[in-house]
Amino acid sequence: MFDIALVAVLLFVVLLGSSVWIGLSLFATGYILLSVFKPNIPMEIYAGKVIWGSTTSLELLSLPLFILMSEILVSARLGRSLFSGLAPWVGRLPGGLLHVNVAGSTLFAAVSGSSAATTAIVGKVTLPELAARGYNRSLAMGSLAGAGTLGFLIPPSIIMIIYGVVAGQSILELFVAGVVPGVLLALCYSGYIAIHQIVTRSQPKQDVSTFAEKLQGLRQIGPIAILIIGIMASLYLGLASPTELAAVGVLGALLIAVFTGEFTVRGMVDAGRRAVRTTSMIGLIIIGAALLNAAFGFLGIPKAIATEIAALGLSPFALICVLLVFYVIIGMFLDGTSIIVMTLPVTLPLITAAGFDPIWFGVFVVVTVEISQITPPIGFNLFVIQSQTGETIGAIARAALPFFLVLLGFALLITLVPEIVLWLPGTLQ
Amino acid sequence: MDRFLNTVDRSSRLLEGFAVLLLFGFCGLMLAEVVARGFFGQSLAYSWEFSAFAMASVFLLASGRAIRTATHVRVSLILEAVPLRLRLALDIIANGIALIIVALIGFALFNALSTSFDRGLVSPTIVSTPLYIPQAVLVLGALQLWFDFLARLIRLLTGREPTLSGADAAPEEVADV
Repeated sequence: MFDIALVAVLLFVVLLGSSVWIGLSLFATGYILLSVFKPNIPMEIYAGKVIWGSTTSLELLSLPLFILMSEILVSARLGRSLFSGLAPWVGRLPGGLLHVNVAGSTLFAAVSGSSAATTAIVGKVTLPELAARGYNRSLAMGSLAGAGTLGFLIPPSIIMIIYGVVAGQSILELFVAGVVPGVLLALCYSGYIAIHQIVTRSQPKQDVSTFAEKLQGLRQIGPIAILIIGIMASLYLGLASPTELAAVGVLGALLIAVFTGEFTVRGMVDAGRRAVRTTSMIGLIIIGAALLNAAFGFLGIPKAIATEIAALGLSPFALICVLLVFYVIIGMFLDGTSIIVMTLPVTLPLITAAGFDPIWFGVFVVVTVEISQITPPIGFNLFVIQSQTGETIGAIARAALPFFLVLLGFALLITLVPEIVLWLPGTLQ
Repeated sequence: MDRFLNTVDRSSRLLEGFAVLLLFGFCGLMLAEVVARGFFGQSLAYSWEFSAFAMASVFLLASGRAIRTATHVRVSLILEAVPLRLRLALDIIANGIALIIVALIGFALFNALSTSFDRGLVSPTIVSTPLYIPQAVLVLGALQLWFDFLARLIRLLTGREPTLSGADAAPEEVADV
């Protein structure tokens, strides 16, 4: 069995190393494995069935809609409102306007399922503004890279939808489970910024905002706050399925664009074009992963690996530590969707056998995927910030290092205190 | 040659536009479902099924344009580490492999389509949609993806820029404060 697994890994690594697109590499690996080791399967028919089945999965329907919602809000220039609305409120905290990176990302994450989109929309406004006000450039980039990852943890989350579909878990429950860890992680980021300022006194002094400025700020973030409250309340009260919620979210985003005077047909079509491309990118990975996972299933690879690892007799905590290291390493080379669809068939049985809750593991995996967003050489948040600042990936990765360590610590924290994740979904039941 | 490349670009953009229509369309369908269920106490028989077909179509129809705009992800670690000439050679090889894999995907989808057509397969719901109709859209998307990869290969071989940057980018923003 291990020779087949080895062939699979080698094949995949060679294809990826040759720069073949990830979705196509997954598909080719699955196709070749089945053709060679299960020659009785008529691949030209079977592959078509797998593609059709994976692309028409009802559980995936919310994915393109949440992507569309996020793009419409980007077109509505939400980043500007976030900065203007939050600056009067956080300016007096130790670290000053650097907290806009965290608070802005937290708010945008609550209406967007994407980490890169969160980083892009917040950074587009905050990075130039923070630079103009004399803030430490490294801390500005690092805090944005770290806080941008909240896009995956705070619902709605594209990565959680993918996890829910692959693991066969309730997407609604996963969304609810992400709320408390998301807010807590945001507080951890802000805590680091505050401590850094208290120790180094390196950030400029901020003018005290007047009450009128704070009120004006509230007006700026009011529409997005209403949208967030609507989404969160519907999630928690179970008023709508994730797909219906996503559709209502798109309507809400369109209304925000109209009320803020940013609605143009051209802008919305462009938002749609960006959304279908991102959807298509994830779709190609889903197609490839579906065939590879089908091949794994036929060949019994996940079961064999799970049996071997179970035989090592690791304690549950040691198992999680091993998986954390494993996910950090593969996260350096792969994107979040690929990480989940490729590893879950192997890791989920291991985890459930060790007594962990699959919903808890979903949040844990999302945190590891967040880590992958800020680790070089392949870290999408790093790429976004590079495109906005022109800095090298190495410099941005160094700036993000403290936030990488915060994330690592946070992964261990939710392992030691799983109630952080499971408490809110528990009240839902 | 330019004529061929421009034609591929135009059809790719056209299918992407069709995908945008389908995305907004199935969003509208889901909203109609919410209204029908919330206010009239009944579900629309076709909303989930048609939405799923639309989503599958979006995946493939926009795929060609996603290649042209470098939205599809790849591990470019080695590609970026080697000298320019070697990078070009590696990119050409990767593009050639991609053409073979996309052909396999297209062939598999065409088989599914012809099986559905020959056997008169319909969706297992009250709507009973003939499956060959949505499957034909997927085949069209796979075909476009193949042509976009072919156009990309030609651009690489003839020294043209393979990637279209900044297409339909979001507006620039500055803070008010």
